[in-house]
This record gives sequence, structure tokens and C-alpha cells, in this order.
Amino acid sequence: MGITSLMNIAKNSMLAQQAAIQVTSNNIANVNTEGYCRQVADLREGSLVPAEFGLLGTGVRVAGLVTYYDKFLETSIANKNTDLQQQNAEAAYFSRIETVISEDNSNLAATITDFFNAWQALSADPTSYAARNDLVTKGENLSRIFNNLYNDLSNLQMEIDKSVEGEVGEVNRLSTGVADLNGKIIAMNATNGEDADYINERAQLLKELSGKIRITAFEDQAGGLTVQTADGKTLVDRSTQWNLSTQPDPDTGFRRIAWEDGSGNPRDITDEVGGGKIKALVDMRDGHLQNGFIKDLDGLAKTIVTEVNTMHALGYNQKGKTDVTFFRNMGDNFAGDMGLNAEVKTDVRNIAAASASTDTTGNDVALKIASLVTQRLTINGQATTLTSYVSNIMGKIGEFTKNAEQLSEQQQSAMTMMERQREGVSGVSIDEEMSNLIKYQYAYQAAARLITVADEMFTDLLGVIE
Amino acid sequence: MRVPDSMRYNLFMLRTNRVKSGIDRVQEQIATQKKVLRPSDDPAAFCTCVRVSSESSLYKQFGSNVKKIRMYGTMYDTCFTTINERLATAKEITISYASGELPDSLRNNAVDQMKDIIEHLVTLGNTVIGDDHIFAGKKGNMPPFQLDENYSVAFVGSSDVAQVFVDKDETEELGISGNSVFYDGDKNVNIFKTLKGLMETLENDDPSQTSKYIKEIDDCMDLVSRNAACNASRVQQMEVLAEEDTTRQAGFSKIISETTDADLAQLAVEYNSLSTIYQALMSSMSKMEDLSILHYLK
Repeated sequence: MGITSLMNIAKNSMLAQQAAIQVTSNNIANVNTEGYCRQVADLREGSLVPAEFGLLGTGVRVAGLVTYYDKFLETSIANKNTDLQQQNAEAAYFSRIETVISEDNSNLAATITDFFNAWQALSADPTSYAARNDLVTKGENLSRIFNNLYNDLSNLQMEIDKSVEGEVGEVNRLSTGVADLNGKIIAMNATNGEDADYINERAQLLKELSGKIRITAFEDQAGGLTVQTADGKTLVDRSTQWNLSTQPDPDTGFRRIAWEDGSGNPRDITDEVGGGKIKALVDMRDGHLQNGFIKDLDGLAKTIVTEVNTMHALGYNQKGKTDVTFFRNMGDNFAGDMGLNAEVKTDVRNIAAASASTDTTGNDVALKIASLVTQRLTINGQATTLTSYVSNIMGKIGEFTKNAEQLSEQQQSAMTMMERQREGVSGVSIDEEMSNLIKYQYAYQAAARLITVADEMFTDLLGVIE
Repeated sequence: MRVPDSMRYNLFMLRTNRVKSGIDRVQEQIATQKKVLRPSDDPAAFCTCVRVSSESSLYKQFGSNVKKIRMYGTMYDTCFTTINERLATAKEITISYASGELPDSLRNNAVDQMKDIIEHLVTLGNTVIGDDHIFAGKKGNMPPFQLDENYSVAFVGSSDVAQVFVDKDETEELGISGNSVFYDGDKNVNIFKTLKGLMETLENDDPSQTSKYIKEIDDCMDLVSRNAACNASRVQQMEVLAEEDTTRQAGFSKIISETTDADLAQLAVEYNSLSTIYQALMSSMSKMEDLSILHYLK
């Protein structure tokens, strides 16, 4: 025991407090860093030295850094993020479809009624050029609205398809990142190194990854993380990563998602994605749009075109001619290609309102066509009136959007709760850090004072000798 | 429980955004005066609105058809009155002739009057509204009565009359065919034939035929009166339908209004409430720093 040991204790203490202040500073600096886990310097008493009267302390040392990290909470947050991102994407796209389809923007029901009202007006005045011209205008309006709706929904579908490709690229980037970090963590663990930052970073990547696609992840003893898709296809195993890719569907041309096995052979996993933003995109593109609203719209257009054309072709126009269709002949894409027959468009006398060649001023056919709007017709296998069918489409998109927005809010609330819990453990509190800062600063000042005391003691001792 | 700073700010932003979106929504509702702005606001209400609006539009067209029938009815009524007046004139001439009150000069004048009556009735029979000859039946694009130099009149219109919808699945004849106005095959009435016969009788100075023609003119007037009565009844029926349509349109407006119109008083209260919450949030946030230890360390 000597004055030098006092100096050593003071020096160690100053270094330890300085390290603690550095850790605190790092916490303060990362107060707004997403996913950061606060750290605390683990101060331990220095080793004891035997003296005549017992064991004497040798000061303080930094035993290590304690990282506040709850593995189970991080896993729960990652899982919740799958549902949250899926619902957010669905809510966003349903909202866009709603904007396109909503009657206030599309005027679909009103235009259908106007079109058949124009047939009524023609029936009341079959020889009127004004009524015939008005009918052509209403027919063109109806065609344009179907074309526009179809194009808007198709463009949205293509935009979603591009997003699928982008998101798959993101999955590959994230899984590569997880594999890299796995390698670093395993290496650190092997040398008992500090791997907290890597674990934090990996947890963030995992959270992002689970937002894209439903995954399961488990950690081995060495700290390596294995990540698999919902149907068990491995994306990451320790530092090895497997790619996802997209392949065009031969029927629709839209991208299918494939998992590439060890030999690089793609296996289609589109239907097994399980959750996340990619599932929302695929469901939206193939389900709600292709087999949903676009199909509904096309079925409606098909029924109108077919019913009107059938009756019109049986009628006689003012030139005494029959077998002329009102709408042009089109392939399978009724909504997208809907348009008037050129003969009708260029000469309104070609509109057939009469049922007999001898009665070219009659109105029987016009009446029959006008009555279609109140009749129950079969649209996509459903017996309903045209306007009821349209209002059902509006109701459907309304329900989907409302439901998706509610689910999105629920998921957001649940995520907020979880993040609060996580932040409760790992988040940085400025008040807490400032208190620690003061605590360590005082300790540092006291240790510095100890050096002054030891120095004075040395001076006194040297004075005695002199 | 520890409350880290980032969570405090994140939650503040989350809550602020919720309140702000609420304010935006209420503002939009106030501006549009509608509580249902898009299908997702209330899918069932939006559907009802679309259906009712379509029905309303459809019934407006029925209303337009009814209006047209009424307009034609008014025109027919005027025509029938004039036809009867002209037939009454013809009857007066016949009675005067039968009573021997017409000297030759006046008889020749009466022949001219009869020709004039026939021409007038042909003109009435060819009455046009817009481009439509109202007595032509389904052949409304051409005059239904043709007068030749001998004052014989031929009906070249159609006996069939165009139907129009006045309600769902309910049609009504738009007009009246001249065939049923000037001819009645069952009772052997033919107005133009009677007038022509009378004209020839006057020309040939053959008083023996007068009583026959007086009876025929009576039959003709009876036919016109029957048509006028039918027309009046039809017009009345259309007026009832028009009234029904007015009531129905009011009903549609009421349904749409009740389904979608916003209660402005309620929205104003809601807006004030949200504004207060927003201000309180801003105020609490601006004072958040005061609660930090940093505030005391200054």
C-alpha cells in the first residue's frame, strides 16, 4: 500500500468514468436512432489486494458494456411488422381503387342510366336526329368511362407488378445483409467479442425483411440466425443466403415469385408467400384487381354490349337495314375495347329503333333496349339489374377499403404498443442519460481530486525528507 | 415504466397526425356538406345513394315522357275542339241548305266553305310538333293525310301508335292515330267522306241527301267528342303520374339527403372539439422540454 496505489486508483477511476461518459454520450447521440439499444458501462470493483489488516480495494474497472436488448420483443415486433406492412399496403391500394371506381369520380351508374334514358328518348321520337345524336353521344360517354376505368385499373395493376419486382429485390438485399451480419456475429462470439451493434443492426434488417414477406427466424448457439419463408424455404442460414427472383407468368405476363435453390433452380412460391407487403401486392394484383374489380367491370361491359347488340342487330334502321350492331365487335376485353360501331357513329340513321323493315319509323327495338336498365340480367353469373350491380361494386370497394383501413389502424396500434414496450427496455431517455452524465462527471471530478490529494501527500512526504 | 424520448416524440407525431386527419375530414365534410364522401365512409349508405340517384334519373326520363304525352294531349284537345267547330259549321250550312235558305250564290259560297273545311281538317290532321306529325301514328316523319284535287282525303299514316315508358314495365301510347280520329269502321263513320259527300250534294244541288248528311255529321262530331273525352282522360291520368313523379322525386331527394347530407351544427361542434385537442397537443409538446432535466441544467 503506497501513495502510488492512490494515484493508480484515481487514474483507473478517471478512465472508468470517462468510458462511462463516452457510453452515455453515445446513448445521447443515438436518442433518435431507430432500433438503437441503449448501453451502460458495467463498472465493477477492481481486484482486491491483501494487506496486513485485510483485503484492500484497488479502485474500479469497466467490466464490459451492458446492452438493453429483449430478443423476444424484437422477434414479436418483426412478426407484427409482417401484418402491419401487409395491411398498410392493402389499405393504400384499396384507397386508390376506391378513388378510381367511386361514383363521384367515375359516374358509372349515372352514365349507364343516361345511356338507357337516351334510348327512351329515342323511343319517344324515333325519327328525331337530335335524339339519335344524343344517343350516340351517350353511347360514346359510356364507352369512354368503361375504357378509362379499365385503363386506370390496369395501370394500377402494372404498377403493382413493378412493385413486386422491387420488393423481391429488397428481400434479397435484406437477406444478404442478415447473412453478412450473421458471419460477423458468429466470428465475434468465437472470440468473445462485443457483438451488440451487429445484433441491433440484424434485428433492424429482420424487422424490415418481415415487413416484406412472412418469415420464421431462429438463432443457433453460435449466434447465427436462420431465416425461412412461411413454407420453409431457407433465405438465410448463418452466412449463406438464398435469392428470390421473379419470373413472368406465361398466361398473364405478371411476375411470379420464385425461390432459387442451391443449384439456382427457381421454384414458384407466389402462393406461399404467407404475409407482408409482397403478399398484399400479389393479392391485390391477381385477386382484387384481375379476378375482382377488373372482372366485375368487364362482366358489366360484356352484358351491356351483348344485350344491346343482340337486340339492335335484330332491329331495322332508318335505311331499312338489319343486322347492324350498336357497339363495335370486340374480343374478350369488353371494358377496355368498348366503343360504338363505326356505321352507327358516322351515320345516326344506322341506329335501329324499329322491329320491321316496313316500319323504319317504329320504336319497338328502342323500347326493348331502353327496358334493359330495369331488367334483371345475368352479369358474371349473378342475376341483377345493371345499376344494382354497379352499386354493389361501389359497396364492395367501400367495404374492402374501410376494413383494410381499420385493420391497418389496429395493426399500427398493436405495433405502437410493442414498440413502447421495446423502447421501455432499449430506448434512450435524455433525463436518464443526463443524470448518468452528472453522476459520472462528479465521479470523474472526485477521482481528479484524489490525484491532487495524492500529489499533496507526495509533496508533504518529500518535504519531510528534505 | 421508462419513457424514452424518441417514443415520446413518435407518439406525439402519431397522435398529432390522427387529430389532423380528423380535422381535415371534418373540414371536407363542412365544405361539401356531405357526411359520406367516399364509399368507405359508409358503404351501405353510398350504395343506397347510387341506387336512388339512378332511380331518380330513370324516373326523370319517365317524367319527361309523361310531359311529352301531356303536351301532345293539349295539342290533341285543341285540334278536337277545332274539328268539332268546323263540323258544327258544316252542320249549320247543311241545315241552312235543307231549310231552303240558300240561294244559288250562297250555295256556291257554301261549297267553297265546305272545301275550306276539308282543307282545314287535313291541315289539322297533319299537325306537327317538332318533326313529328301527331296524327301519323308510327309514321310520324310524314304527313298522314293527303288531299287530292277532287277533295278526297287518303290516310297514309299508321294505325299503330308508338308506345313510351311512363313507369317501369308500364307503357302508354304517345299519341293518337288520325285513323281513329277521322274514321270509325265499326260505325261506318268517315269525316272526310261525309264532308266530301256534302260538298258534292251542295255542288249538285241535291237537297234530298241533306238529312242523311246531318246525321252523318252528328256521328262525326260524336266520334270527335269520344276521342276528345279519351284524350282528356289520358291527359288527366298523365297529370296524376306527373304528380306521383314529383312526389317520388321529392322522396328520392329526401333519401339522398338523409343518407349523405352532413349535420353542419354537429360538424361545427366536432371541429371545435378537434381544434381544441390539436391546440392542447401543440401546447403540451412545446412545454415538453420544460419537464426535462435539461431545462434545469440551463
